[in-house]
Amino acid sequence: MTKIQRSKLLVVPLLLLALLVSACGKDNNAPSSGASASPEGGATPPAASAEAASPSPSQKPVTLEFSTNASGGTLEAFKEIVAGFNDSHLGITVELADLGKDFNTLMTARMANNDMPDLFSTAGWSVRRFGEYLLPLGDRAWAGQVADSIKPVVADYGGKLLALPMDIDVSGMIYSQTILQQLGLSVPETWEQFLAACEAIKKAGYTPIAVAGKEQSDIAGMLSRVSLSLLVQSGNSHKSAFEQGSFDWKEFGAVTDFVLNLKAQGYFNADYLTADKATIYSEFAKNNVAFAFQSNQTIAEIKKLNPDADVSMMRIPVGDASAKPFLISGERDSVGVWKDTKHPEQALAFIDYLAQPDNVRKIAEAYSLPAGLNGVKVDLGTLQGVFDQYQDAPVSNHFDRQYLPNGMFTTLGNVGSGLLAGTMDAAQVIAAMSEDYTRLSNAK
Amino acid sequence: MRSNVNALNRSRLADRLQIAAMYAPAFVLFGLFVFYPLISGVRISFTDWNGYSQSYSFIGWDNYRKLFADSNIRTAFVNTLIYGVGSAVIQNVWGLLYALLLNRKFAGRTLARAAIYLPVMISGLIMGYIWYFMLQYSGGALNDLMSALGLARVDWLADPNRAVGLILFITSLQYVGQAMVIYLAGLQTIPQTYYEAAEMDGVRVWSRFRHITLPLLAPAIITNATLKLIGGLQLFDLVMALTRGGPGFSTHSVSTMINYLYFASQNAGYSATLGIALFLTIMTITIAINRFLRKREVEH
Repeated sequence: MTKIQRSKLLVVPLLLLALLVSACGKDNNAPSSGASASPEGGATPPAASAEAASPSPSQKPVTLEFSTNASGGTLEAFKEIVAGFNDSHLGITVELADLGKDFNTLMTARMANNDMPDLFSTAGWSVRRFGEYLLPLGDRAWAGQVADSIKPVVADYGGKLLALPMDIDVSGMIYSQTILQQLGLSVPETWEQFLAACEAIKKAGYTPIAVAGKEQSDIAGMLSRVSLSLLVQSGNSHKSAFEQGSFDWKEFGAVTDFVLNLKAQGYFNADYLTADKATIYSEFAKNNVAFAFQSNQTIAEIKKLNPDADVSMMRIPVGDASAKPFLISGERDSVGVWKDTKHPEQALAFIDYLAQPDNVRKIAEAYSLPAGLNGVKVDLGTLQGVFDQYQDAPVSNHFDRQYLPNGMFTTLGNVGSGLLAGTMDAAQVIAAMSEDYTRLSNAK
Repeated sequence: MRSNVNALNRSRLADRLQIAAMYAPAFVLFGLFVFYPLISGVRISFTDWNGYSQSYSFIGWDNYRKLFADSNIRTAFVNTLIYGVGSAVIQNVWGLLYALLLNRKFAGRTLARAAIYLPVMISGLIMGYIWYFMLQYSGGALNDLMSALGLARVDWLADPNRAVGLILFITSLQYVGQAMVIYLAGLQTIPQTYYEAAEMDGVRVWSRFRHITLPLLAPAIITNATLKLIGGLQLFDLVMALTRGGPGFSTHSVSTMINYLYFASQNAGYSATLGIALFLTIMTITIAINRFLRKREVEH
């Protein structure tokens, strides 16, 4: 082999190496002009208007990454809004990354690398999970319009607003008005009435309660609602113990007993361990099922299968008549800005655009939810009457988001699944809840 | 004379450098995508990291101690061995039978080979969803058929033992085509003269299979056994699509459990510990199987 051939052969692997090393390098996009962001979160966002953020011809075009967990109608609404923004803001392109069910997994990896999207949905966890990655938004023009009922949920303990709440996730349980009317039953307000209704429904040949046990989030939703009712909202409340972190987990036995009783009485669907949510929607659409521990999104999905299905929202029953049935009011479609984004000015321009009344309305109406900003009129469709009827009902944030450390919704789903499957008894469930509560509370 | 030696040494050095340069990309890629993650995994396994926070504490051997006492982990390991060893045995026996059958000439042989291999082309996730739609209680094809025949519906995936059995059956059915192709290739390398000589000596069919086919297929058996074992031990997508590890934790494999612990339970340190345990298990079993089967290889 000649020297020339040898040197040629050496060049190939060296080029490959160089390519690899350059590919592994960090993104060296120069920060855009405008606002600066400090690495420790002391970002100083400019209170610029959307129009002012459009770059002058001399500025480089900017691409913003917006990751969301939105699905169905909400995702379609976000796509429409993003397209409108891109059309009206020359030089700024928002790329919507629809992460769907992989949202939590991918965002976890992004958080571990401290490499977040410029904009992202906070998926119910703007403070306790994403708080340390979010740019405070209290100085935006729309901040004063944030509805009082959602403000504490999207603001940190110091009162700093961390996300733009597009809607408020007001929900309770869902029920079939058709079945209840047919059997002459009123909407239950206590668990005693609920159990009596279940018995009558079962005797009439219907399924009293639908559970999509293949998806542990559905079981977690049931345990979360029952826990909130029995441990916080009913007479013997443990609210202060939860708030002080001194809750005695043996008391969780009230929840396991309640769920085991529902199972023992045969009130669940036959496939409660393996059904998916699509099956539950289908059973409601066929008027086979009376109750489900699910949010209003389920109503929209059922109506897609059967527009005539008479399904509505009810308040969550309580343990005794002295307490009032209640609704859950939490964060759903909120959007925040990464505090270390290289393009804060443009990202804030997008947030301001999102906050325009017409855009807030589009997101809120996708699943018939009240708007997160005051002054935005939302058509709640068939649920308008229910919202009017329950406008004075007590509301609470979700049990896990208010009283448990981040990550315990998964624990609720797992222990619930184990309890229903018979692979865990009540004592094991209580031990697992207590252990994860301590571990996740101590997480840094 | 000395200048000739120097020239020879220079040439050897250049050769070595050239060889090293050719190896370098592979070493860098291996280091970056295999060795570095492995070392990181070992380091994380000694921490209480939640998977996303910028800080964590070292907790010594706590995760390893917990691993041995955790009944859910034990279930996942038993299931993984069932998925791994079970599917390796089933696919090898089944694949060999298919290969012996489809090595003969008959009309429709190509179609039969294609039909058996076709499921390999589908992703495990899609296969899982297809089977979920067949097995589900409400609206499932199998239950609808049973209803039409006047039989009671069965919630096939609700019983943990049955669910594990079904996962084993479905993964074996999906990948048996792969084993069949490897065996077919192995069978076609065996010289026909051996069989002709044995036939002339009056050797029976079973003896010909035992003393000619099986020993000469040893490389194919090793390949298949190792591939199928590793595939089964790493089973993930099918479990996620069919049961998501439920009911409870009863059908989790170690892979799905690692995913659950890391991303859902926010217990990355413990998840990494389980990953290390799975790595050591696969390595030990693979080495043992290779040593066992290599002794039985026959050259021809």
